[in-house]
Amino acid sequence: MNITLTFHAHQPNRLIPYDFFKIGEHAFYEDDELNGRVLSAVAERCYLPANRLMQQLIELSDGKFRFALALSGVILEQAKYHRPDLIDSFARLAETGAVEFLAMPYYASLASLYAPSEFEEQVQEHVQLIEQLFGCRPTVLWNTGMLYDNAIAAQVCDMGFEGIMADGNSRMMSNRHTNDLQCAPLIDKTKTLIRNRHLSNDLANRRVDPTWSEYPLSPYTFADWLTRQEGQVVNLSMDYETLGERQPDTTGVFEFWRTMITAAVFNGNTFLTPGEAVRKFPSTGTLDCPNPVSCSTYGTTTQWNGNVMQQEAIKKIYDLEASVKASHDSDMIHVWRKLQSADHFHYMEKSNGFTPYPSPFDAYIYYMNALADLQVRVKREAEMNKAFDSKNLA
Amino acid sequence: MEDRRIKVLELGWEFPPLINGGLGVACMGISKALAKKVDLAVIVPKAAPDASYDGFTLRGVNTLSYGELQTTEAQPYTYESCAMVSKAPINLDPYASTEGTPGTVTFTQEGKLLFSKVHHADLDLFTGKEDLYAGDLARKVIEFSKICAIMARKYDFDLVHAHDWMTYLAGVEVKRATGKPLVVHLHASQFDRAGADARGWIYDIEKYGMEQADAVIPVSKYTGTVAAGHYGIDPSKIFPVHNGADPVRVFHSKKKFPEKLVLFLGRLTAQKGPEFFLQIAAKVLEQTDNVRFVMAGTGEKLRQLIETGAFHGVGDKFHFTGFLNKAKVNELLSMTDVYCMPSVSEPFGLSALEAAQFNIPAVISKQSGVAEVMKGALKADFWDVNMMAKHIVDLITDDELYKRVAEQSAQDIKNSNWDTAAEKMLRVYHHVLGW
Repeated sequence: MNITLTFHAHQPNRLIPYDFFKIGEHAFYEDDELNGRVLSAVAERCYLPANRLMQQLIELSDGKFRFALALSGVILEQAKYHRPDLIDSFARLAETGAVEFLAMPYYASLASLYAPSEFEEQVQEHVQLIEQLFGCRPTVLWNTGMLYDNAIAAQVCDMGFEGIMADGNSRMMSNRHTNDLQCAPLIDKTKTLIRNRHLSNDLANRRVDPTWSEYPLSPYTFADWLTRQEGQVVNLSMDYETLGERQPDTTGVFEFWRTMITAAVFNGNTFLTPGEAVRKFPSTGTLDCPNPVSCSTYGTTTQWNGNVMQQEAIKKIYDLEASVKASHDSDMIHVWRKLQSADHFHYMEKSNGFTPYPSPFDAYIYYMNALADLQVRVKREAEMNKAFDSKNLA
Repeated sequence: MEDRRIKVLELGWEFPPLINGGLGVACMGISKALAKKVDLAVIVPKAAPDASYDGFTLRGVNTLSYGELQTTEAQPYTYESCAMVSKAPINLDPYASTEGTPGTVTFTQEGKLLFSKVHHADLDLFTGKEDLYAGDLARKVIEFSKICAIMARKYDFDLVHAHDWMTYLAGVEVKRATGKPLVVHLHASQFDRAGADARGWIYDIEKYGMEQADAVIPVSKYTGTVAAGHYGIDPSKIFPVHNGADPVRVFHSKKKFPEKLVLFLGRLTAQKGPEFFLQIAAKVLEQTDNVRFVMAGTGEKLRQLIETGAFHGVGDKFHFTGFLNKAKVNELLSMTDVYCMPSVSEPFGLSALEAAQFNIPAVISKQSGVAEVMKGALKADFWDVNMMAKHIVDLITDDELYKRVAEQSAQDIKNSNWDTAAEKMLRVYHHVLGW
C-alpha cells in the first residue's frame, strides 16, 4: 500500500490580559514570555525528540520512509525568536530530501473562509518562509484545521498548487473514496488528498484510550492494517504534538512509532510525500463538498464561529482589512494578521477546555480590547498619512 | 423645645473601613455630619478593631464579651419581632435582585426568645471572618436585633435611627425595650432590587420596620413614593432627605484614544439597567462611531451582557472592565466625557454626583433620586433607549450643550453635601420628639 504521513505543528500567540486601560497605549498584545515558555517545553518533550526519531527512520530505511510537515508561520516565527535550535532541527530533516514541507496560511487563519485574497497573500508569505528556511517550494496545501470546500479547492487550484489536503468526513462529502485521489467539481489540476480519518485517529487518540477494543494497540497490528488498505494511497495526518505532548513519552509513543514505521516498510509498503502522491496517481473522480469541513471533532467550523462572540470577533478583524492594508505599514499588517489566528476564536468557544484564559468571555474581552487598540492605531496612522499627503501637495 | 443636644443611637450594618457597597459610605457621611449637631453613638455588627471616629462612638457587636450581655438579665423583656417570623431564607444578599432559597430558622418556645437565650454561638456570628452578608444572614439580623435591644439599655439616648432593613428589626426591638421613638432610614428597598412584584422576608421586614417607625427618611422623594405607594406607609411620616457626596480629589487625564467615552458604573444587576445601557450604546453607534462605551463593574448579568454586546456587534466599541477599585474608578472618571445611569429604580444614585464632581455631564433615568438633585442632567425614562441615545449623541456632538450641562451640574452639586442632609435629619428628629 502507498502511504503518506503528514504532521501538523502550530503554537498559538496567546494574548496578555489586555484590559480597557491599555487601549491606545499598549501596542503589544501577546504574552511573549508565556508563548516562549510553552514553545520551549513542547520543543523539549515533542518536536526535538520526534525530529530525531524521524531522521533516524529516514536514515535506517535508506530514504524509503518519507513524510511531510505542515508547520505554521506562527510557530516558525516563535521558534526563530525563542528556540532557533528548533529551526535547525527541521532544516536537518529538510536536508535528507525525504521530507516535504506543505504550504499553509502563514497565520493559521480562517482567511480562506472570510477573505480569499488575504488567504492567498498569507499562503504566499508562508511559501516564501519555507523556501527561505528549508530551500524547497511547497506544492500541496494544508489549510488551517484542514478547512476545505469546493470554493477553497478552486482557489487553491488557481494559486497553482498540485494538491490540497482534506479530512475524510462522510457526512459532508458525497462520492468520497478516502484512499483515492479525487478532484473538486470542475477542477482537474489540483487533486484532493483525503485524510484517512479513522486510521489517523487510531494513532492520534485511540491508541491511549483504555476503553478502545483494540487497546493496547500493537505497532505490528497497525502496520498490518496499513498493508491491507485498498485504493491508491492512504493518507495519515495528525498534530505533531501527538508524539510526546498529547501522548507523553511514558505511554511509549516514540517506541510505538519507531516499530510501526519500520514494520510498515518491512511489509513492503511505499511511503510517499503528498506531493509525490498527487504526481504519481490520477484523479479517480469528482468529490463534491459544498460546505466547509475541518478535521475537528464535529468536522464543521463551529469551534471557531459557533457563538456570537466568535462571530463578532471574526467580523471585526476582517472589517479592518482595507484600512490596515491602506496603511502600507508592514508592522501593522503583521500585527493584524497575527490577530487572525484561529486559536483566538477557538478560545472563545464555551466548551473549549484547552485555553490559557480564565473563561471564553475573558478571551473575548482581551481580544476585542486588543482589536480596539489596533483600530485606534490604524485610524491614527491614516490621519497622519492624510496630513502628510496634504502637506506634500501644498 | 428642650435646650440641649439630641442624643441619638444609630444602628448600622456596614461601616467603613468594613464595607460591601454604598450603604457603609452613606452611613459614614451621615454620622460624621450628624455628630456636629447631636450626641451620637453607633452600633454595628462588625467594627474594625483599630478604627476611631471624630465626634461619635462606634461599637461593634464583634467586640462585645458574653458577660456584657448578661448584666440586664434580671429585667424581664420578651423578644417580640421573631414571633412574626417563622421561616426565612438563609442566604440573603442585600445587593442581589433575588432572595436565596428558603431554609428554616427555628425558634424556641412559640417564637418567644428571652434575653437569656443569647448564646456564645450567637456572638460568634459577628466575630468570625465570614462576610456580614454571607451565610445565615437571617439569623445574623435576628441576633443583631436581640443584642441591640440589650445594649440599648446601657445607652442614654432620645431616639434610635436605623439604616436599611438589616437593622430595622433591631430598631423596633430597641423601641420596644426602651420606649424611645424610632426613625428608619431607607437607602434602598426590595422594590429597587427586585421590582414591583417583590415579596418575601426582606419586603416584610422593610414594611414592618417602616410601620413601627415614628418617621421614615427615604433618600429621595422618588424613594418616598415607593415607601408610600408600594409599602403603604403613611405619607405624613415620610421625610425625604437627599444624600450628600464627599468631596473627591478631582483630576483630569487625557484619553489614549480619539473617541469620546461614555461610562456606566455599577453592579451588573437588573436594578441598574445594564441591558438598557447596551441598547443605548448600539443606538448611539448607529449614528456616530466617534464614541466608546465602558461598563465598569461586575455582577450576575456580566456574561449575559458580554454575549448580548457581541450580538449587537458593538464589542469593539463597548468595553467591560469587570470590578474596579476606587483608584481605577477615579482614573476612568478622569477621562470620561459622558456619564450614563439608566437605572430601572435608583433610590438615590450617588455615582452620578461623583461624576458631576469630575465635571462630567450625566444622562440619567427619571426613576432615580439623584434626578431630583441634578437639575441640569439630561433625563429619560429608563426604558426609553431612543431618548437616552439622543441625549448622548447631543452631548458628544454639541459643544455648547455639553458646556451648559457641565456648568449646571457643578451648580447642582454645591448643595449636595452631608451637612445639608444632617440639618434636615435634625428637623425630623425635632418633629418626632416634639421639641
